[in-house]
Amino acid sequence: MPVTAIVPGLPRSPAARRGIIAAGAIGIAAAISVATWSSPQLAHVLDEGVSRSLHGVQTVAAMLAERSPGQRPEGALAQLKHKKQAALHERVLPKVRAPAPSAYEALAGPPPSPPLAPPPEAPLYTAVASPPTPIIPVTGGGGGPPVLSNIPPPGGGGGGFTPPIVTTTETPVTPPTPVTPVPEPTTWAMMIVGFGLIGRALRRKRAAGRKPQLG
Amino acid sequence: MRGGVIALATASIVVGAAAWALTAQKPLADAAVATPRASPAAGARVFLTKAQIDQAIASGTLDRPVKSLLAVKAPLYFGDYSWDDRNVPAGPTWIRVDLGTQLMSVFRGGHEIGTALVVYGGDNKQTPAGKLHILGKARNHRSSLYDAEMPFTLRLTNDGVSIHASSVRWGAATHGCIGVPPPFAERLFNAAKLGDEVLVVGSPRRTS
Repeated sequence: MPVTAIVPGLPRSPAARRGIIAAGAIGIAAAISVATWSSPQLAHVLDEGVSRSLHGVQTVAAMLAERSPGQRPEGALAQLKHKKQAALHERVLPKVRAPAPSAYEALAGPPPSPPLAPPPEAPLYTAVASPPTPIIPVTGGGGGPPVLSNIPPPGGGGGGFTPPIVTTTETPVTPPTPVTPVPEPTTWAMMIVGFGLIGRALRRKRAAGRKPQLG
Repeated sequence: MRGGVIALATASIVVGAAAWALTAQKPLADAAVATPRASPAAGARVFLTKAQIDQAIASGTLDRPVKSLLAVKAPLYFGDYSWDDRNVPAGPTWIRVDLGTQLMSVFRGGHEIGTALVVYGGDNKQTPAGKLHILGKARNHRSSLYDAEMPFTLRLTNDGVSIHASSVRWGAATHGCIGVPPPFAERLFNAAKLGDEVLVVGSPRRTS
């Protein structure tokens, strides 16, 4: 007569028995994990026990080796410098892409970004090579009176210096301010405040409209 | 098969719930126990078992019984040291220098009271191995041979090999002396006395 028939609580097949064993193991594991999760003190005690039992089997040599960097390497004394990080010595073709900034450059800060506005096409001023006006008499020493009203007087001390004559061909045009695709923080703030004000005004209006009905 | 799966699920739920119920009221009891465990000296030292000591002596790591070692949590860097002689009774002091692991250990009465990474002799001027003794002490020594300050010198041989404060850094070597970090050197200088034993073991480089 099979045993399983006598004890009704026991499972019939070995697979089921294996299942119960697995369930027990899972349950115990769950119990430990739940227990350690619920009380950190218990977890600490368990940890300590585990590490103590590990220390028990550790040899003295292994304990000493744990705090050591190991043997001095063969070529350590021949090297004058400690091995540096690879990132600082990245080698790239300059035409393919810019190399990573060195440590000093990174400390100095990011390089200035190129201006967004295109350079003005036409020069604002044109220097005239040959002066259309008669030659300015050079006065040495004393510093003579200005001959032309729009030309500053030559230097008194040096003498013999003729300033370049510049005639303006057109009025200087200020370049247009570049429009960035992303609004700036102040723009955002202004927009949000504006929406808030609109909402407040709407609510007020609605409340004011409702009041007569309520009263 | 189906019964097994049901049993598995039920058992895990029951055991998990039981564990939850058991540990739910636990923290109160644990909290009272947890307070006295926070003594700092408890984790600072690893006491060796008899089996560990026997193994260490048999393998040649130690030549005499040692009761405890400092619990150094992380690997030491060059210039690091650990010193803890709290509650260590007086006793014979001896120093163990391992050239293979670049470590020095200072023992007093069988307990390790200090450990540090050292620099030692280069290939052309190697540190002598073996059982040495402290022959002389000089707090502010200046080497006439190398024209260099060598504070906290503990002289080991008659031709000048010593333990002294030094810049302990990666890739450095000495002319045969054993260099230790200056703060460690001062503590060692105060702890050691004339005649104390210095055991230099290990070959700086394996031959094979």
